[in-house]
Amino acid sequence: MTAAKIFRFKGGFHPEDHKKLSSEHEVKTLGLLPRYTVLLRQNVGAPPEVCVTKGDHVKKGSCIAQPASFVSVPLHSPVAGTVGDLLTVPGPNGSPVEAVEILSDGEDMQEWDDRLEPILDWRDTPANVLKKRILDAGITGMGGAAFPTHVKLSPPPEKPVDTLILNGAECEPYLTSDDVLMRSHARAILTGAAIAAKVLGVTEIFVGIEDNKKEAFNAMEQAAWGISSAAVTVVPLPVKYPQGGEKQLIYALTGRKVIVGALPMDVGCAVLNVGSCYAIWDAVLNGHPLVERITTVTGTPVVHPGNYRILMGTPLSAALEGAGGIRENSDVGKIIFGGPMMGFAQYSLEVPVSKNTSGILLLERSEVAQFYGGPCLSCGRCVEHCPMQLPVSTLSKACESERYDLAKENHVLACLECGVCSSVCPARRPNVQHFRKAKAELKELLQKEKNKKVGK
Amino acid sequence: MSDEPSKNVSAEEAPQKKVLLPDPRHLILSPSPHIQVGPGSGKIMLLVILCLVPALISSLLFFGLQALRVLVICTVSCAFFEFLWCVIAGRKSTLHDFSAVLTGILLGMNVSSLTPAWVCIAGSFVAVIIAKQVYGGLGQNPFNPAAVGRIAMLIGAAGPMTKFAVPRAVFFSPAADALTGATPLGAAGITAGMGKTLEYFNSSDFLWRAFVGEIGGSLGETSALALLIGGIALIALKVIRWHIPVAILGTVAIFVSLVNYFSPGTTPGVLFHLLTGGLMLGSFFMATDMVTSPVTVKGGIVYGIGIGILVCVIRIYGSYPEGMSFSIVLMNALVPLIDRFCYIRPFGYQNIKVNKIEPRRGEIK
Ligand code: SF4
Ligand code: SF4
Repeated sequence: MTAAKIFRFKGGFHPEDHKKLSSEHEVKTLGLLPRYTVLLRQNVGAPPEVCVTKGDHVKKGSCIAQPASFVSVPLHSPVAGTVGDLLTVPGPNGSPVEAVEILSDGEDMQEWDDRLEPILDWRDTPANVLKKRILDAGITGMGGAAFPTHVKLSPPPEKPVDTLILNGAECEPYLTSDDVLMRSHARAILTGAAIAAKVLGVTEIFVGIEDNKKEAFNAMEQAAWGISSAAVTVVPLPVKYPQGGEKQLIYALTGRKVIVGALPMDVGCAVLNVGSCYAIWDAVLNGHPLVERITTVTGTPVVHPGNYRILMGTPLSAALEGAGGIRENSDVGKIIFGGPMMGFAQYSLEVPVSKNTSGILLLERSEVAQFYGGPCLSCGRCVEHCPMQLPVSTLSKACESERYDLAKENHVLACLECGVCSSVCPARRPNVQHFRKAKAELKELLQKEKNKKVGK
Repeated sequence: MSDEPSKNVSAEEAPQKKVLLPDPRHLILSPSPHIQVGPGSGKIMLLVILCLVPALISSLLFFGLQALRVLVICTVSCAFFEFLWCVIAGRKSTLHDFSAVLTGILLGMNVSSLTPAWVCIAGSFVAVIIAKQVYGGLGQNPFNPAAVGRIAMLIGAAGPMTKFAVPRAVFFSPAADALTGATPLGAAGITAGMGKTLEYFNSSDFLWRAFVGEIGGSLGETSALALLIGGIALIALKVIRWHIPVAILGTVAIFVSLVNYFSPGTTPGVLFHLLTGGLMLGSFFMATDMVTSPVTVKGGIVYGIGIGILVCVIRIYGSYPEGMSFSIVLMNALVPLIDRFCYIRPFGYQNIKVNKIEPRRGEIK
């Protein structure tokens, strides 16, 4: 395996990563709960349609919702039990969402009663069967947005994909779930990747891992030998956020730049999170649908920070209890689903864990960033660190005065909302918030224009 | 932990293992990012002030209580004018961002210890009110307030402003100073004008005294050593980028060498120019003012080179012996233009036509 050339993207930064808090501990499994609330909408695209009714008995792994369209995945019951009500619970993104209640019957949670048929000879299985299995297992992206994996694996014929990229960068501070997964299940992850490579018909697999995860890197490199007919290259990446951003990762590994508004498939790449690859392996070789994930529960207030195997639908309160709760003298200021740079702040302990909950992070009140929006000093820190190399200070001022036309001319639509420019701003300007608003406004404007044209 | 029972069970059977959970009513709900790095605006200003401390100490050592008097008057009146403006404009006081205090200290360091109080107060008024607040306060001012204040003082009160005290050299052997009442830059200009040899200004003895600060001049300008310590600390603390000071000093060094090469005898050597006058103070502490310098690194280099060339031109060919403030203010005026042309291309825009005349900083208020 020759050392691959790495393309460094401009910008980015490396905040204190706090990974040691959680990475040193073994992965533990959370105990069985009497009740789970499985979110219906766990994926990008259409939410699936419920196919069970109240009182139905389900087994662990039984399908409880069917995909509603192509960009949609089925849902499965995390435990054996009875279907309860269709509830509205606080969702991870802040708005209330629908969820199916499953009342556990107390059976051992490791028993799989209702699973798909394992496909042991996946090398000789046609690609469409494998792809069907990935869909049936309900696999989505497990890092940031939960984009259905089978859609990623179905590029249109006019956009051939020649490279599969595994995202093991895990550049968000605090999070270590991908790290521990790579350390303990390197073979499974790479087998999953090999299956995905077969479905895509690609000949080249890159695994990008940030340089601060030596152990994971070694494990993956060892496991990479002869695992796939495609060439597997494990590449150490520079440690800087957002190295795991899709565009930055593709650039780092292949030197291809995804232009604004384009998708990775436009440059012949498909990017899968290592968690999704593990799920593919589990679905194909064991027939297990995706009902469980490894989630980092961490932060200084947590008594036992670490990585936990958590079933989908486990409420935040139960996950926290599993991690020992919080220290007595701590003053928790924020609970975040995901990492500190792009995660969502939570307002309720009822929010259930879903397929893309890579971490549950608790921050002390004093650690929480406060953006009060002082006057811009034109210091250029934001411009220097923006991974998209946008003229952030200009944009920030334009958006502040609601000049969305200027914002558009300065490429606000290219913003990743990665949060770097807000984090580094000495004037504590809420730049990302401004840009989110601008993007929403511009989208609305575009929609209006479209409607007008249609009206004429 | 792995067999931690469900919450009902844990509450009934193991009350001694009470698990604390956060109170959701007290959680902060704000969008990402949730962490921030680096010092805030106020702290940055404080760090700059901190890095000025070596130069402040040296000015007190060399010019004594007179220096303290000027510094205090400038700082207090700058802070007072800032406060006054906030009161009149009905705004919350902006004193806590320390930018007015910094302006005051810089202004004081830019003038002679013999400056009369009224000149200091008038200069502070110009710096804070005219150069900053009428433009909209911190962040909106196109020109460096301290530089504008100094220029106003220099032009408006030319007489008192060009009297310089002889450094008392409390610390070093009290050498007889050949340059009583004038700055070395001024003296060198006169000497060169009279067609005399400039050897004295290139002697290692003189350069050493210029390096530690035992020469006539404004309070904070004399000790290159103290300014260098502060400047390097500023860069090490990541308050400023190194590009601007290095571009200025490098340009001055190259320019002076070229002049010396092509027409020897016009001006003293490179070291003389680097160590005297307001060059060090200006390059590290004034040209790098974030508000009035370009946003990008590329822009910063262009801006630094511009200042370097202007300083040399004014010093060698102009009628003023020193031109740091003028150069900074002139280049400040060009910053919006520099920002526009040192545009960075967004990631992934290689194949897309970039609109060349995009509105840049300065056109948006
Ligand atoms: S980091 Fe903040 S203060 Fe500095 S230029 Fe950007 S928006 Fe302005
Ligand atoms: S949030 Fe947008 S503008 Fe800010 S650093 Fe990230 S990509 Fe750049």
